[in-house]
Amino acid sequence: MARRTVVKSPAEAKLESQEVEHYLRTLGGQLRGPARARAAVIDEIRDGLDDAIAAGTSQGMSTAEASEEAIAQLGAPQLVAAAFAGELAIHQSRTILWRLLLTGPLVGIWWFLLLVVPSQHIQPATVISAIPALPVVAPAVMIATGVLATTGSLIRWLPESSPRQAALAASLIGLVTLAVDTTMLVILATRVLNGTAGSLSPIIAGIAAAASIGRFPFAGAAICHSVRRLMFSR
Amino acid sequence: MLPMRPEALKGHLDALLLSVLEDGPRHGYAIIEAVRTGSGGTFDLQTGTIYPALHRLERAGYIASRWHVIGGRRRREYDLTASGRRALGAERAIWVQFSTAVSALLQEKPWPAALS
Repeated sequence: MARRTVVKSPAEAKLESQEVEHYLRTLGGQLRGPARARAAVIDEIRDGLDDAIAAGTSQGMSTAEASEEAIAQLGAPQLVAAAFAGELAIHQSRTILWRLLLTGPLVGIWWFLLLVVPSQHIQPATVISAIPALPVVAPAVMIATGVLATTGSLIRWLPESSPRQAALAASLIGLVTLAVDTTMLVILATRVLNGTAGSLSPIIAGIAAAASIGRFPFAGAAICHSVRRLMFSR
Repeated sequence: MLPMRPEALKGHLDALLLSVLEDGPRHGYAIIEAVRTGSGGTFDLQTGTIYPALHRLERAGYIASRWHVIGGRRRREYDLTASGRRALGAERAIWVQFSTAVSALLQEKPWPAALS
């Protein structure tokens, strides 16, 4: 089909903009996931709509017709949001898992320095076996790593985890994080109350406690996001 | 031309998207248009379902995207990675084998042969 350039009148441009903005607002309200990821989706859809409208007007459609056609071709906001739901859920679960995995050693090292190192002879096997949270943390780390692997580039070779499985893993790791941090704080509080904290470094104790407390809202938010995902996704 | 049901594309969409990126990077809309025009209008999909498929291909490492700003518009451009190129080659080989076998079975046979 022969293309011709159509110059939009200000009224037409405003109409196009209103229609597109209304669509994008509705879509934005339906998307579930991290704010940055949702914003990126909206930017990408907006760009696609602009291209589609430009193509429509260059083929002789009015701006209103081209906008309507572009939006119809994209699909209803509910359908587009549903199509994105899985990808956004996986994106969110992966973000949560990465954060919890990376903050684990940063928090754990202070508890290790506080509780384990002073009372142990420096023999790696003895020191590692004295970490109280290890039986809980080790399987959690394995699950998190497994889900990250089966939702990332390794899906080329491994069976892919579903968005639901990824959300389930994220909520589990969030719970483990919360439980381990609480346990460590209770151990420290018990020693302080019993008067057996004398051998502990107050500075390291303060840093370890602050690190664990600082992770509470973070782990809690991870659980909330994941539970919401599990409730609303299939 | 017979209309193509969207579910007929299930399992082949990834290969189609990789194939339209073979010649160079494209933006989302250009990819969708390339699938539409490249199939002679047979694959006229709802574009909203293509973007999540592109995101999944990126997550798998078959394509890579980068954002850039042109004339004040944020645009996302997709390009095939080396893994994607290899995957496309493998998909092509599988498709040739599959379509040859299906064509051999489905093609209309001459009247006497159809009876035997």
